[in-house]
Amino acid sequence: MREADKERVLVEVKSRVMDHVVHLADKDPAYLDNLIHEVIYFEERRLDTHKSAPGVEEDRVWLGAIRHRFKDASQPEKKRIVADIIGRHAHEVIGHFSEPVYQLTTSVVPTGLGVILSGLSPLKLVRNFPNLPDLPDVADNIRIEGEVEQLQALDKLGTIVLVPTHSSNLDSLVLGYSIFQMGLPPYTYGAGLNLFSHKMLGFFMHRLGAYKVDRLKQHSLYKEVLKTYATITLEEGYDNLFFPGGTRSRSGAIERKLKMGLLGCGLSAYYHNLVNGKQNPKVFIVPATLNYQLVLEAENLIDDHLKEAGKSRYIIEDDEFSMPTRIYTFMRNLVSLNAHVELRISKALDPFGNDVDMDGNSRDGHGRVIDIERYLYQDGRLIEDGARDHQYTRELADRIVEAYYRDNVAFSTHVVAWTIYRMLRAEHPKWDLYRYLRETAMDAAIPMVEVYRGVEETLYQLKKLAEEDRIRLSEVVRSGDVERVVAIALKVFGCYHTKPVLERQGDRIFARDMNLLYYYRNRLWGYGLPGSED
Amino acid sequence: MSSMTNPPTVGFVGSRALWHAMAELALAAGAPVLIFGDETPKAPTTKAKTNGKSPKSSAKANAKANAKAQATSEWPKGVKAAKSVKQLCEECPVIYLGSPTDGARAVLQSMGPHLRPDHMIVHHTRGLEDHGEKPPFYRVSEIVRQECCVKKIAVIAGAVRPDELRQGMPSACVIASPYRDVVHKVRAVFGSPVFHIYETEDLVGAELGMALTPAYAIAIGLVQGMGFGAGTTGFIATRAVSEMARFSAPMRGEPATFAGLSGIGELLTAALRPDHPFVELGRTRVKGKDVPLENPAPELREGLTSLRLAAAFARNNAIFTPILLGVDAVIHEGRPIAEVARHLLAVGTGHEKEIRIDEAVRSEAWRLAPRGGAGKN
Repeated sequence: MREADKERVLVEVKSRVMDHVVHLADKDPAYLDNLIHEVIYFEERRLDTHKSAPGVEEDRVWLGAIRHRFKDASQPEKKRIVADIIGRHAHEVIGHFSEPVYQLTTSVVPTGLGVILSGLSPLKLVRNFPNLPDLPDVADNIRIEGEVEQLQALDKLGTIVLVPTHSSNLDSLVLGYSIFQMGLPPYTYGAGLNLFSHKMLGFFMHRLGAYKVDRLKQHSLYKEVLKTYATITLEEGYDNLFFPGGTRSRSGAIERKLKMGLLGCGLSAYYHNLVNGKQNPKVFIVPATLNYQLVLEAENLIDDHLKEAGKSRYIIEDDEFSMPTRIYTFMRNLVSLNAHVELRISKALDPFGNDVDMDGNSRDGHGRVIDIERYLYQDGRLIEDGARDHQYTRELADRIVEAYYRDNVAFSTHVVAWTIYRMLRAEHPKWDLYRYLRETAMDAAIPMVEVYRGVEETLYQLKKLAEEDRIRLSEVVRSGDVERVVAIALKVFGCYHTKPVLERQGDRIFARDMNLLYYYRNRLWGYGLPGSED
Repeated sequence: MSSMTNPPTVGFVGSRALWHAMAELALAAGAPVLIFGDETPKAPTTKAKTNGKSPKSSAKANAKANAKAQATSEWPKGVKAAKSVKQLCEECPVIYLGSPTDGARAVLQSMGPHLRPDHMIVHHTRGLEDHGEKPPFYRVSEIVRQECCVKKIAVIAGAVRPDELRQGMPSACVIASPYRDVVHKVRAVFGSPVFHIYETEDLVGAELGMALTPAYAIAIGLVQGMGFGAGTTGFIATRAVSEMARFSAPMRGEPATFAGLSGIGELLTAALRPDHPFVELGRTRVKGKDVPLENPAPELREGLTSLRLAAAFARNNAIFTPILLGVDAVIHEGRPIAEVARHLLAVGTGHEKEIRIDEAVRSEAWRLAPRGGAGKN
């Protein structure tokens, strides 16, 4: 958020959330009490369970004061309490975008990204300046494909909400770099507090457009502040980046359940733009997939998924991303293997889920232009209707998921993992997933000849899907060269993880880490390929 | 009855018995009624076949069809025939679509250029469209989405009998739509103490209930034809509800919907009605009469197509629907009824609420196939 806009946005966030609260309180006399009780309950719980988190003491004092004021408070005083809570959260959330730092940062982005990903401390850099250490050449290993031209064209016609898949904490860095490469202005996005704890990264993120989201704050008023802030930034013309899956995919599969709250901000901003007579009122939703052959935090993510603790932990604080040397090893290996990361931009949608053309027009199935403003009409008048708009957002979410599947890139690692997982699974069809993963021994092996045959079959199925425009294939997978696909997968799988996912010994392939095999295989789940049972 | 001072014009497409009864209610509520025939040529089912173009139906043909529709005695006095589909779309914010499933696409293609995003479409179509590829069929709401920009779509389902409604007998139906304003619009015109309009968000479930109940009505007819009693009919009807719930689950239908008007409500009415065409079909089949599959009577066509499509879908995706598959085996494969009945009775029993869904179906991969019709630019 630019300094010039900050104060105005802050005032608008506070007044809009307060209006929303007052509107509900007018309908239900118990609403304010329930709301304040909810804040106190969830905040107390957060402070009790995360005692060492930064700012806990200060929050405790603040909460104590709220509790004290709430006792015997009159209705006007309750409103003032709610206003204070909103104000505190709004101040906390608002980003600290800095134009000079942005200019400086973006002008050295390729190097800057290398610095960040190398895990070097700012202190070390300053000490050695101007001699930079040997950094991985990240720029050559990020490919941007798909509807880039459309994205660039739409950027001039309205406000963009980029909604990518989310696999790794590296995503925001890769996206930050890619947005710069595409010649687009910085995107505003909400990033988890834990990401800001990485000193170097936190410094840049804050100043590149990121705002803080504290996922430990569970009460509805905080979520309302977040949503309103995102909506207003869109209205102010700041392009936004949302991860609609909410969190990194724990299982490795494409996200299917998207968070409606944040996704609906695009529609809400469009409505307010119309009401306020904005010159370029349109908001374009642009899905994208981030495709990795290897995922930095795969080991931790799949563990979390299998423990079914994804929800309760939500934020993994001790994963590979918090270990600079792991990031460095990961990036160096990707570079040395030429295992590029692919960002694929999908076709843009409007907030109702319709396709959008290069000129920003929404089109129906027959290519006719749709006057989308009329979706918001009731009896000929422009009306905001929460239930209706929620349903429009569900339709949008369905289209985003379709785009994710269509623009998912199948790499060699996914193809080979899918095939070997299926072949090993066929030996134990009656076992449940956990038994299968646990009891398939380290010496479970498949002869190379059979692996080649199985991979050939998978490639055939994928080729058919690709012909139907239902998935994308990497160059190697598209080539159909079975031996090359297997060789590359083995090389990539052996280069980074604690244990190689798969290993060749003689004329057999051994599965060394079943959990990771499952994780990488999951990227192809949802296409109805043979072996989709788990 | 409507509380509005100037109720908007109500537009009906196609000549369904329910539309005749509802037109009467609309007129009584002071709402003008426009009708439009749907005797446009049948549309090929995929974009490949139509090359993405609307079927050509001359204004003359439309006018002729409309005049015919208006002349049909079932329409109450006071309805007006629209001169064109354009007029219908311009004057009616809510359009009631009654075209048969295999004609719905063509009608929607002709309406498409005139429909706006704030239009609402309510249909009462009892069928699935044969798509011939993946996905194997489309529901009417899916066809609407593919052919025009309208998103507010609803289905009227349930046990309502148009003749009883016209006689003022207490009746009930359910309007299914995730958009509540459609429900409000329908209720505002048609709701009354004798016509209870319930609501649900489960459009998928209600559409599937409409499409699948004819198959289970045939099962009831077979049971009755074989001389079994009311207990067996009850047994089949309730297991049918479970089957429909299982069938709809991968498409995000809600099991509870089938315990309502569009599921058990429809089946009860079928079982109690002496002249229900599908129950009658089942009864006569027991007597050895063949079902004219090549050229079935108009009132049977939609139900028989839906039976074939639904059975193929259940078979291909391992959805546990023994009654549906049994009826299909009798009707479409000509298998002996006694043999199918023996097979059905040999099916093991389990928990009453059990819903088994194959994981491949749960993945909805079949649903992510390229959109047919005109679903893509």
